[in-house]
Amino acid sequence: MGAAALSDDLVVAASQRIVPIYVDCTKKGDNADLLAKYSVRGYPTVIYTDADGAPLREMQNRDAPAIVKDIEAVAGKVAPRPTFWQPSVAFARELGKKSKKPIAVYVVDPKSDLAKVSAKLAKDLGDRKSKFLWVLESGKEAPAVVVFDPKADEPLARIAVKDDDKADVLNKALDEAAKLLKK
Amino acid sequence: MQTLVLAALLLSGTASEEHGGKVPWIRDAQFGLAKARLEGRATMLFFTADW
Repeated sequence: MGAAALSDDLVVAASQRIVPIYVDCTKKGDNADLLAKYSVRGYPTVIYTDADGAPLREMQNRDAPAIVKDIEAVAGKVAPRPTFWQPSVAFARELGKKSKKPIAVYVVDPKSDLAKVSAKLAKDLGDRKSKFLWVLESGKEAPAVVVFDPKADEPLARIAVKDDDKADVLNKALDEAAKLLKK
Repeated sequence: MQTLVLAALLLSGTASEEHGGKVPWIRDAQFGLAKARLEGRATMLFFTADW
């Protein structure tokens, strides 16, 4: 895939509709399970899948308009599931500038059970689910919540999350962070 | 100092998003697939090698 196509504004915008995953196969053996599952025989190869990872199509034409068309086609085939998660920080930032809501990035261990984490948060956060724009990220320093103003690069707060914390510990910290948002 | 630590957490390789006119690739495939399942979104798997 050409670098020019990837930096095309229309492709970048369209990529918010799907989950773009970069599978680095430089080291022999890395991602061998995925290579086998999707029958990848050369690089670069782009496979579109549904939300459950079932392959839908392989990218053939690599120019920007064709990529956008592919993304729109596959995104249209997948029924959205109810969620309070925003697709990405970049998307949440744009939304936050209009709604003036703070962004809360929930950083999880990539091996976490995301459904379990999400269900617990949905239960614990109350109306903070809608008062913040939530984005799910993976990171080594997980679990943590990083809150920031959508108009600024510097975070307002970093909240360490412990599995055995009661809900009000995180909620109190979120409320304090929200107060730091410039009006 | 605290700000630097916070920014590093968000912008280092630990956070998967890239910003500023680029496709926000997730570089941990298993996490990306789990995120897609959770959020009900299609994926674009970009298999590549830097040889």
